[in-house]
Amino acid sequence: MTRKTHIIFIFSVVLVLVSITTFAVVSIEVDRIGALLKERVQMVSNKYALEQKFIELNELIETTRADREALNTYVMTESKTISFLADIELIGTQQGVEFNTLSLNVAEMDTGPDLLSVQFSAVGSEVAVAKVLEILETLPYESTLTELSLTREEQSTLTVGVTLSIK
Amino acid sequence: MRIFSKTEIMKMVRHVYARGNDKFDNRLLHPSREWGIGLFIFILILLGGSVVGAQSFNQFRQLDTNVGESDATIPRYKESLVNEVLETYQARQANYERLAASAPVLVVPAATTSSSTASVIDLESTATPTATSSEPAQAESVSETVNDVDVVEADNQVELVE
Repeated sequence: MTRKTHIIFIFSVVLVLVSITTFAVVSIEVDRIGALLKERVQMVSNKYALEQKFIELNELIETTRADREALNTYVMTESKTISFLADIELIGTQQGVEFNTLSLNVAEMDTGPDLLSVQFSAVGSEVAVAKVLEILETLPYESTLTELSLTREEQSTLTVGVTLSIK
Repeated sequence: MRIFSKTEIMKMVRHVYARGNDKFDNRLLHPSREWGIGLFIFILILLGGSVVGAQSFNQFRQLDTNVGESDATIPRYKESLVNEVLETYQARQANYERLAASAPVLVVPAATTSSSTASVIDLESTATPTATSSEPAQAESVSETVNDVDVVEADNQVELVE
């Protein structure tokens, strides 16, 4: 082996080793950046998916707005409480029944709207009281007559105690 | 055992060095074999690099932004249930309004009639709650002023005992 061949051999080996090392380093770097890119792409994808769900939810809110507003009219809220009591007393007066609101409690529920509990008494003729009770039964709210007591004061006069729970 | 002298050892070293330096044993040289080994190593490196490159390519070529996931859940809108509830409550409200708007119940004392029973009548909206007075004369006058008095809720007749 001549000296020249020897140098070429050494040079070739060094060149091969350098090439392999460079390739390995580049491959590792590509993998690292590729993993980073994959992570970022996943983040972008998740963001797109979230955005898509947001759009769908927005559409749902828009398309159900009328129904929700209609449903809300049948849900008792704090702002409606006063007018509700005034309406009830007005109806009682119109029907010839004397109304007295004895207590008014609002209980916060874990889920859903608050529970309004109204206790009142009404005095009037049997028929008028019966009609008022019928009106109360048809209140356009999720209401329940939880307590009802009837006391005959005179021959034709009834005193009724009612506890009404409304959501 | 023969012991080599220093001169002989140096001569042997010079001989080996001289042969190894520029005069390789031609019997050990096989150019095609050496080229073959070189090509084999080259192909091996090429194949290894190709496999690694293909693997990287395959790993990152399917990066799609349309396969994302989100933890957010959209509540299911039960339209039929909502419509059913709305219909129920609308009917209930109509009933409530009808009852609330109906004229108050008036008890007409029996003194205006020959019997001792009183008729329960439903006055038109012009009648005032004061018409429910139990005095016979007043009730009579009310019944006279109201021409179209319909007897309603006949089952709810109430007997008055003075």
